[in-house]
Amino acid sequence: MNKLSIAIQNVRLIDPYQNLDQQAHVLIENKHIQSIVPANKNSSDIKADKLIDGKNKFLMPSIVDTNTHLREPGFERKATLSSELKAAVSAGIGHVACLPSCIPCIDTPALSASLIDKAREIGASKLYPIGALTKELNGTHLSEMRALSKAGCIALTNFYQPLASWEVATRCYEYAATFDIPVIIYPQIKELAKQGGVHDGFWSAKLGLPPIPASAETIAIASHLLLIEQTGVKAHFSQLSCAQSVEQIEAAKQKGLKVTADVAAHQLFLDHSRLEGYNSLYHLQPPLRTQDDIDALINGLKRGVIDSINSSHQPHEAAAKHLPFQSSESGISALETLLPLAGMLQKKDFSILEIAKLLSKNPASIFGIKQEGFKEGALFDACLVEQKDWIFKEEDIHSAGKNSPFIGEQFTWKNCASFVSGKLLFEA
Amino acid sequence: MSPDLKTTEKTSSSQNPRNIQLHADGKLRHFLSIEGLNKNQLEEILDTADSFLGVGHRAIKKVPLLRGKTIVNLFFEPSTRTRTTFELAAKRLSADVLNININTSATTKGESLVDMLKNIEAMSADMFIVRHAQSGAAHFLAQQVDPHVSIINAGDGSHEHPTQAMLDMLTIRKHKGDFSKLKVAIIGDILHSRVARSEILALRTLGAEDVRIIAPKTLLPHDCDALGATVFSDITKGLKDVDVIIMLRLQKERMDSALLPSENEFFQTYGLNNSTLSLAKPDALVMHPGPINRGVEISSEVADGRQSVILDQVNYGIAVRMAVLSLTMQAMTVQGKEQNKEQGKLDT
Amino acid sequence: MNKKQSDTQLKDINQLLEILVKDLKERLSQLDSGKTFLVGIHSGGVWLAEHLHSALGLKNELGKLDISFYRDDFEQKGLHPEVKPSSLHFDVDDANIILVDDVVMTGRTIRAAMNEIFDYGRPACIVLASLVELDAQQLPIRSDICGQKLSLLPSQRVELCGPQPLSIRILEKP
Repeated sequence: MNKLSIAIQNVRLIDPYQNLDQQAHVLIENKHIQSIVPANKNSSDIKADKLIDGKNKFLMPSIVDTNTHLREPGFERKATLSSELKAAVSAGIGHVACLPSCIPCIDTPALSASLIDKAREIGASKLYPIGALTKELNGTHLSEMRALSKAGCIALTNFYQPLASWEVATRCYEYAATFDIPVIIYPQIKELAKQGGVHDGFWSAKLGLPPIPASAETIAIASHLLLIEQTGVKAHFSQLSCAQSVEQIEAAKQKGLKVTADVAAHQLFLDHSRLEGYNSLYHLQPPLRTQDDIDALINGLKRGVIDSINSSHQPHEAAAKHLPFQSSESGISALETLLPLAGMLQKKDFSILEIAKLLSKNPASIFGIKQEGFKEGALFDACLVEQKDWIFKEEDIHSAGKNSPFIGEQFTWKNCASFVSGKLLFEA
Repeated sequence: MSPDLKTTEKTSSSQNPRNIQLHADGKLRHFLSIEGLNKNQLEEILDTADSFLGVGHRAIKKVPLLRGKTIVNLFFEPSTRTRTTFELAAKRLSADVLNININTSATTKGESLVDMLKNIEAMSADMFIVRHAQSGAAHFLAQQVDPHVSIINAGDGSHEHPTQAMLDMLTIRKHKGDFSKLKVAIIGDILHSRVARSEILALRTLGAEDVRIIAPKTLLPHDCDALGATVFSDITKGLKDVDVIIMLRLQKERMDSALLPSENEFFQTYGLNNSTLSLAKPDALVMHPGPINRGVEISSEVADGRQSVILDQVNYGIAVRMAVLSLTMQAMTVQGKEQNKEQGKLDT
Repeated sequence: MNKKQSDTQLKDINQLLEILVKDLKERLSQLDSGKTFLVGIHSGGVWLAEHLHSALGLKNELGKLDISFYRDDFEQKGLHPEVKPSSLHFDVDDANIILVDDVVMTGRTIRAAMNEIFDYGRPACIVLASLVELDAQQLPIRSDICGQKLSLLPSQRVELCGPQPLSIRILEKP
């Protein structure tokens, strides 16, 4: 199997590493790219054990999803490492970073290492744990950051769990900066967000749901930026949701701060009017905001202020959503809509190359995940995407969590093959 | 709206409250919110309530309309007043009433809300009257019940309290007749008030000329446009020439959550007393959904004064709830029996 | 079916009213006028009762009943649209009630009306007066006083139009 040679013929090659968008034939031997032949050359010369027709398809580096909750250990009723990594690979996501929000949380090197081992046994997408910034995510004691980093954690975060004080935050960032470990910040001031799950605006007023004001996010970003500047920590803001947040990140970047940012794919397409009818599938953290916010986020992506798009995948068992809106758990099962939603950005004047950069190259480089793109001799790591109209159905969800608000949605991009570290791990 | 995603937009509108509480023919299937009901539907409720008003004054204060029906008062929040009037309304319609008061913390620990609902439903309940601390809870339950079971919203979080709004509308109509020339001011904690949301919607749907809300910014939502009322922060301007004043109850816990400095300052600034009342029209009605905090939102002289119709509200509350129960139940029993309608007049 | 005793042709409205006024006058003479009240059933019965009230020159207040809340077909038909409030503003206990309806057919409306009256009190007696009685009884209820007993085809029904002037006609059901 490993020695198998595979030829993908007549495919559009999207390589954000070499900034290339070209028709070509790709020959893979022994997990590595043997040759890339321009499409005008006759493909009949190419001999391989397996031929894949690349017509109407494009090949891009595997998606790197840096914002997922895989639920193991502790929440196996929602999903398991096995179910989610298999779902990820079927969706073209070859590299999955998982948040430490399991029980116990990823605050020991042993757990980090065992998760990586387990993922290797599963043999689907590669797993990159994100460690807890504080012990048990308690917000008071620093975790063993260096050990976590050595045990494979690509970054550290306290997710939405608040840090006990700005003093703790300062110490965390100083310590992480010492070892140049990236810290992921989910910007939200807890006291302003309270139990909310809805943007503070028209729909929260109309529906009488407890709101989360934009200031819960922007005050957090402003304060953390000051600490980032002071401590020199390598910081990444995850899941921006407000127009003003984009302005703040832009200003910080212009100032030369080492900051990057991402946005969840659904945040680019859904606004708070979805909440009419109290559908708990739209209970999200951060909340869905206004069309102006959406426009600013998309604009931020276009201008490179926001560096990457991810899924914010949060699979739930049915019972977690089968509750009144406020009691329901937040989050959507999103691995399998990440690529299709990103594809919808074509309608917003994004080229396929730009989208591939946001899904793959940028997140990989922010978190030091090794990817080289398509050049001869490189380890082959890619997804093959078919461009066609298709309807997303519940049966298409391989994840254990079926909590997607996009069931019934028409998309134009669909993953039809995934290669991770040279192996063909999924084929539709 | 997101113009890029077409299909899911349809799914979301199918769960829209406008559709869920009505049958295809526009009759009430549930009574969840004033939102989504039109003028005719609100007037039908008021007209029916008017007919029920007399029942309370007779030797036998009961009509046999809902004989044999089982109505369950499912209260997840303590409420003596609302539960009692619903219970009385159901009993005056000859229905059997079951009162279930649930401590919310107990349900979150054990049995899920849906399991509990299904259990009681299995005891052949025909209707649930639901009070819940969470906005949207009644909508949620309405999506879970069997097709022959109705849900009446007796207050959900800070969302709506539609029967309270309708009894206030009946009170206003009884005293003022037409809505079209009316200026109505609602004063107090608009932000957390389900009563205010339902009242503003009802007043606007019934065609009131001017609906005002008067409160400090801490007691108003950030986006007041969503409510469709004119905002005043100064009570002296807001009360000028109004025909109806609706005071809202100020919950004590608001003082603890830094929304207001003190009860005293609130009363000084937004309380209704004889001098602020004199800014309104001389025949302005004074209303309050109760229970009253004397000396916090309203002075005793005004609460007990000539212009106060607070006790009328209580009386009308039973008739309005009888109307809502029977209008919802009728649609329930009539649906699927359409063919009987075609047999013409059975009875002369 | 008592076809022999029933007409098939509807009499003129004035003729019907005359018969009714005459028979009622006779019956009223046997009752204590201070304790006797006319009660019409919405809507035709009220129009008729209003006519009789003035034709007979009665002093006591006219009662009105809307039996919507007492109907036995709520399950089938739901609430009648445009329910009117009932008004019996006299002491029903020990009263003589002349219950007036335009057309008596199955008897179900009258049953409902009597149930409603008994929720106001315990009358001394109830006398039923109607303009027309159709031979379609489903309950043991007959008019005591009636303008005409009529037999109709299943496809026909009687309609009273009013309140001013009163007219009556036979309609073919669609």
